[in-house]
Order: sequence, then structure tokens, then C-alpha cells
Amino acid sequence: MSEAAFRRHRPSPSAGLELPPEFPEESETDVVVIGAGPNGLIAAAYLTAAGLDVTLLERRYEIGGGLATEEILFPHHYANTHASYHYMVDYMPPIDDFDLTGHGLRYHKPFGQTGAVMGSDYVYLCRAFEDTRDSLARFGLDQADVYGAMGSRFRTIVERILGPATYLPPDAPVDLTEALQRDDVGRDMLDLSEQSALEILDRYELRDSVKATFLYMACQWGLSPAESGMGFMVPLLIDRGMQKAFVHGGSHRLASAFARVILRQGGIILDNAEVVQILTDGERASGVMLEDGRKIHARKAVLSSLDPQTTFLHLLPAEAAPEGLRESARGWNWDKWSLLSVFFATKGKPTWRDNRDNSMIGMPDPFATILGFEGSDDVVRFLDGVERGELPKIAGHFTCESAFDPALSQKEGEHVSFFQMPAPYDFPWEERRDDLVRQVTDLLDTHFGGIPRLGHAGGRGVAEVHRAADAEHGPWLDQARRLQPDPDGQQPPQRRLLVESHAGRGPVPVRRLDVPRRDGHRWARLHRRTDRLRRQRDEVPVRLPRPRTPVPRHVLPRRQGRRPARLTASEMHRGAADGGCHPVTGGCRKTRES
Amino acid sequence: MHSLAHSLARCALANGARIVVNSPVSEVIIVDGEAKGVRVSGDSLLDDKTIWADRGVILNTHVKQIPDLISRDHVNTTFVQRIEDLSLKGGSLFVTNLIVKELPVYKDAPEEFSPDDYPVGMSLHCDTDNVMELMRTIHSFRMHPEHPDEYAGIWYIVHDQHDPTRGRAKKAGAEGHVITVNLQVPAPEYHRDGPDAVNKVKDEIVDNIKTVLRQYAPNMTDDKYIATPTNTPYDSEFRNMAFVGGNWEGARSSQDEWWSNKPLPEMARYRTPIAGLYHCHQTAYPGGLCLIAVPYNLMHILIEDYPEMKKSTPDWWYPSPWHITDEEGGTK
Repeated sequence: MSEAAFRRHRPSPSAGLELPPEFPEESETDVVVIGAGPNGLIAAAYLTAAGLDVTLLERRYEIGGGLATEEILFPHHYANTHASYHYMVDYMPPIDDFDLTGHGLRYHKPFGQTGAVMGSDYVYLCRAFEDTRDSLARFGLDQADVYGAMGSRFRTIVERILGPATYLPPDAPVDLTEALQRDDVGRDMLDLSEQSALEILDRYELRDSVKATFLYMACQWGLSPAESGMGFMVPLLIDRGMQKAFVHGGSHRLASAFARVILRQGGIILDNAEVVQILTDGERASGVMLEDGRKIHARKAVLSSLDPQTTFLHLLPAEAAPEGLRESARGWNWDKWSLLSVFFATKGKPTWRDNRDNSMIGMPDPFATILGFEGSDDVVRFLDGVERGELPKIAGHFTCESAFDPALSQKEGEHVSFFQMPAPYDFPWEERRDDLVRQVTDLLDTHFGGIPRLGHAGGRGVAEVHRAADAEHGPWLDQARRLQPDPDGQQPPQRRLLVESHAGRGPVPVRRLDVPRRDGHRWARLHRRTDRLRRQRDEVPVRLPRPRTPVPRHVLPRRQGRRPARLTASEMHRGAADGGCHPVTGGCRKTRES
Repeated sequence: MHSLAHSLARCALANGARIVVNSPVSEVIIVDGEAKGVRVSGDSLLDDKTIWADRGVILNTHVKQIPDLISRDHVNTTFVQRIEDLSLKGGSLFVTNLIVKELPVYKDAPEEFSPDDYPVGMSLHCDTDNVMELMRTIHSFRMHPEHPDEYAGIWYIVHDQHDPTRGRAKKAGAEGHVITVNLQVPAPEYHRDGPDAVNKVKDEIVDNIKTVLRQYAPNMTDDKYIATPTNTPYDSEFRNMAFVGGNWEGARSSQDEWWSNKPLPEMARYRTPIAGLYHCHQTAYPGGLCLIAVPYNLMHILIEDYPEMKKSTPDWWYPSPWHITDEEGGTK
């Protein structure tokens, strides 16, 4: 028994009473899933639906991983510290498979998706293709046409190949290439793959500001502008980049929804449960050992949702690793750069200074606004610098999250925003932090204004509020913290660098709330009622989601013959009675009934 | 066109419906999550009265009006937010009715093409470049066309040519004709200079329309006009309750709001998050402009929800055999 486990079991000093252990020292389950981030949660949700005993383990005090929504600024101000939006919501099967929408998960796709202040241009991209075309036509009708050609090409590739293929286990590259070569769209995608983001965009006669915006969108998640071989990511990141959807109430609600599904289906979730070793039985993974010495045996499998180095170098004992596995894991390359995030709480919504194109005044604010770049050369220079380990300038994207999702700020009139920019991984963050935060606020100040503090009629910029808050409420600064790779290498390196800054007002009474709630008596009553209903609902016997049975292609009714040019309603109905085919889908009524 | 409304109204009355006009609904009453009736606004015929509904309430209002009619406590926040986020962008129409002493005679029209034979709809001043530039002015710069040269694709209908029952417009004892001219302008809430920007230059736009018309029909001098009653999109919004944002199209028509991209999937089959409350308006379809088909399609859904209606269906209506019920589709 480890020391920690021993401490847990020491007799109570008052009564000499032995407390029962919270969780047994040794337990057995079908599958152990390590890591309760989105991957671990979704895997556990499917496995419990399949009727298996599943134990899901999370090192942190809270599940969710990258789906974190936390009060890192002040109480009542929630920030999505990692994923603030999702690209592939329209494709992702688990959302429908577990009927998460039916259980209160709400995604919202804002009208304005990406804005960019590029030199003197203001580029504005929307959720709807047509609105984006309209917006780009401000720079000339040719720009709308060029974008139309590019956008529909990208969309075809995404809709036909990349979207559906995201939810298929990968095939061998040779097989994939062969399959893609059989199809026009596939060949087009192979062609794109061999080009770099810059080459792809250079083929279109886009205005430089528009090109720079697309280049940043394509590269902001780690692609190098001149890197070839990954060109297929360009259509994906640009097309889906205009379909950003956020979870109302914070990204963590997606994690919570999956957690509810797992629990309802009989799974177990343990937080504060760090796995220190994967146990093996011969060549088979047979369970895990936790930091406090507990062992959880797995009858069927151990599933790790951690990175390969942590899994195979740190958790799997060297003697248990098959030959060559450790070497392969060592060969895993980490990105050299990640994202620097600065979070803000402000009084009032950051509003644009009049530096935007006149014809855009009054349009809904875009979800993300790219700031600080002059044009496409500037974006390339900047990303090159970041790759070399430098931070050439302050430029990135800004979002006032609570303006789109009011649930993130529970204080009337106060808002939560973040600024994010590509930044090198190895950097003297400790020394440069305050300086960088000041530079970020200065950049925001040049674009946004009119953030009044309570009691002041006049507008004040982000930086002023920030600085004033620092001066008045020094202690808050102590909360600023930073996550970076653990020097002793025991922790999995964080892919995300976090610099949190704090602005706003002084301490307020803290209430621990697990879900964002509104204040006020009426709301409290409503929530009490909701809680009661939720309890009642949870007592209802568990209904597992219907398993999806794939329909073999040959069973589907075939469309018979050519569709007549025009059918009257009575002809249509008569056709149905005779067992004819559907005028649009070609489906056969008889087949469906049988 | 209004005769269609009259004949439908007569049908409804004959079947026992009651029609009450001048009674704007201020609220849908919801009891235990179910629509149970409506409250009529205080300054109307029914004077703050409540009409209770045993079965349900069908809203024939613009989708954007739903949050105003139901208490927000009954729907989740994103529902309201997604409705507010719906794009109404898209053109709207500036309509002017030119009451004229004589019909235009086009100088370039072939001789056999007499004023009596002019087609119902006609576009003037219209080539591809002109139209594209006009669309750019409206959709990209969010402005109305300012110069007569930009008035591409003016579309007009000579009513009394084709429908003698409408009678002749008469004013000051003179026989007249009515020409309706439609000009594309931005929908008011997307106008760069505010919703009433077009209203402010109403007369100017009518003058420009006359100028364009005169370029093609030199006989249309100023003395030929008896009156020019005009409706801007903003005016239309006030005169027609369902014209939210003064947008003729109801909502922006876009593939990003269709199929699986529906912004309001919970309303895909005319149902709403409130039990017994149905939405039967052109904007029940993203993009709007889906007229008359909506109530027909809605009947399929009502029969699913109210089985007692089904008993008598062969007498009054039969469902489309292509309709897949929720039960058959496995969605219920």
C-alpha cells in the first residue's frame, strides 16, 4: 500500500472508527479509459452504450480536458480556456448518436464568423456563403467571383471527402490515394495536397487583404504557409473556419453532456485520479495503477487518450513495451509553436472604434477578428518568425465570447473576451508575460474603445481598464498564472500556453456554481424546479440510444427510370398507389412499407 | 390578388371558422409548456381579451416575431438567440404605383408590339453589368441606388391592361392606368444608413424612376402622372405584420441554412418547442418565400399529433402518400 493510500485508511482519531474506502483498493472493470477529455468521454460513451463496464479516469479535478470552461478571471465570469468553438459539429456522429441536442446541448453558429483588419481593408466572412460573397464584392465583383470559385471548390472537397472521412478509421495511405484517384474530387484533393497553403491561395487572384485573411485561417492551427504535403488541410480549415459553432454556456457543457450519458449508461468516472502506470499481463494491457496506489484491472482493454510519449514512455513500463515501440514514441514530434491566450474581463462590450469600412457599420460583429497584420507577406513573416522561436509582433485573433454567449458572464454589462496568437513554445514567458499582456491590450486599444467602468460616463479602453484594475486591485494579479511543460517531464506537456490577465473590479462574494446561472429570485426558483425535474428524469429507466444499423447499399431502393419533367399532385399520388418511384428521391413507397 | 384571400376566407367561413380582424395578438398563453390560447392586445376590437384554444395555436407570423409572442421562460436561450441571428439580408422591394393618364409607348419597341400587348412583367435598363453593380450596391455596400443610371432591372406591371376587373384608376375625372414599378433596394435593417434611409429619399427615387421610364418611353412626361402612391420596404413592414425587416423574401435564402444546416432544427416540421404551438409561415422554411404550400404540409403534421383528426381525413383531405410520419421515420 502506498503512503497516500495508507493515510486515507488511517482510523478516525475521535471514535476509532474505520471509514470505508471511497473507492476500493483494487477493482475490476471491462475497459479502463485514461483521460476524460472529449476523446476519452466519447469513447466511454460508446463503450457503455455497448453494455461494457467502463471506468473513465481523469488526472485533473474536473473532467473535460480541452472542453474546459472555467472561472479563471473572477467569479461569475467564465472563459473557455482551450476550445472556444468547434468546426465539425455538422458532421460529428456522437452528438446525434447520444441525442445530446435533445438533452439540452445547444450549438450556435454566429452570422459573422471571421473579420480581419488587414492594412486599410476590413475583411468580413460570414456563415452563409452568399453573405461572404456579398461582403467580398465590396473589393470588386471579381473578388466575389474568385471567392465563389475557390469556396465552392473547397466546399466540394470538404463535403465529399474530408468531412465524412473525418469519421472513418484511417486506411493505409496507398489505399487512400488509389481510392481518391478514381474520383474527380479525389484527384483535385490529391493535387491540392502536394501544394502549400501559399501556393494554393496564390492560384486565385484574391486581393492581398483577403488572401492574408485566408492564409491566417489556414495556418493558425499549426500549418506552415510554405509547407507542402498538407495542402488538403487548407480547404478544410478555410471552409469549416466559416462554420464555427460554439456550445451555449461554454464548451464544458459538451463534456458534461457526455458525462451524463456515461453515468446513465452505468459507467464510472473518477476525477483526481492520475494514472501512473499501465499494468500488463504478458503482452496484454491488464489495467492501470493510480497515483494513490489503487489498481483498476481491465478485463477487456485499456484505452489511453493521452499522447504517445506519455502513454508509451511514461505509463507503460519499459519492460512491457514491445520492441521498437519506445523508439517510435520518442520520434513523436511536438509542435514548436502553440497559442498564446490572454483573457479579459471588461465592463461593457468592447466596441469598434470607427476604423472599419463604412459599409460594414451595423453588421453583426464577427465571432473572431484577426488583428495586427498588414497583409499576406506580413502573415508569412510573422509565422516564419514564430517557427524560429521568436515573437515578431503582437498579432492574432480576438473574440468577445460573452457577446455571443451571454451565459459566460453572469454580471450584467460585464464581458469576457480573449485574444489569441501563434507563439513559440520555448520562450522566456516568465520574464515577458507582463510586457506581452501590455502589448496585447495596446493592440486592442487601437481597435476597440468605449468600455466604461461603472460610475464613469466616458469611455475607456481595454488597457486603461486593465491598468486601472491592476492598480486598484493588486491582489488579483497574483492569480495570473501560466501553464507550460513541466520541467521534470512527469506531466504531459500542455499544448497550450496560457497567460491570463485580470481586469475588472474587486473581489465579490464567491458562490460555487457548477453551471452558469442567473441571479435573482425568479431564476433561483426556476432552477430549483429544474433540479427537481432533472432528478425525476434521472430516475426514469435508462434508454440506450438506438444502435445505428448501416443499410447495405443493395437494399436501398433504386431510382427507376428518369423523373418525368412535371407531375401533377394526382399523378404523383396515383404513382404511389401503383408502387411507382418517388418523383424526387426515386424511393419506392412499397419498399419502405415492407 | 386579394380575391384569392377572399375566396379562401369564404371557404373557411363556410366550414365554420370565425375570422376576427383588427385583433393583433400580443401573447400566446402557455400553460405547463403547452400553448393554450392567445391574448389579444388591449387597443383592439377584442380589447385585451383571451381566446382559449382546446387543441393548439398556429402561428402564421414571421419567425422573428415568435420570441415576442411567447414568454422567454418557456424556451431556452439559444432558441431565441438563433432566431435573432437569422439573416434577413437580401434585397427588398421599393414599390411605387404610377397612376398615369396614358400608357408608355416605347421608342425602341417593334411596331407590332403595341401598348395593348405589352407583357405582364417588363425589365428596363437592364444588362448584366448593370444588374451586378446594382446587386453590389445593395448587398455589399448596403445602399440604395442613387443615380438613375444605376436603376437596373426596373420591373413593372401594367395592371389594368391584363386584368380589366380591377377597373380604371380615376382621379380628377380623368381616366388613368396603374403601373406598378418595383425597384430593388436593401432590406431596411441592413441599410447602411439606418432603416428609414430609403424613406427619406422616397420622392427622389420616384423622380429617378420617372427619369428612367422617360428614357425609354418619351411620352411619359411629368404631366402624364396623376399620382404616385409609394411603399418603401419600411412602409411595407408597417402595413403588413409579417414583413419583418421589410424583407419581401422573408429571410436570406442560403444553402448554409438548409438541410442539416437548419438554424432551427427543432422547428423543421412546423412544430415549436412549445407543445400545441405550430408555425405556419413562409419563414418556417429558411429563405422564406415558401407560400401556400406550408399550411398544406402542416396538415400532415397535425394529423400525426391529433389522431382524432385522422378519423375523418378521407372526407376533407388526404395526405400525400410520400409523407413519412415521424413514427415511420423513427424520429418519434
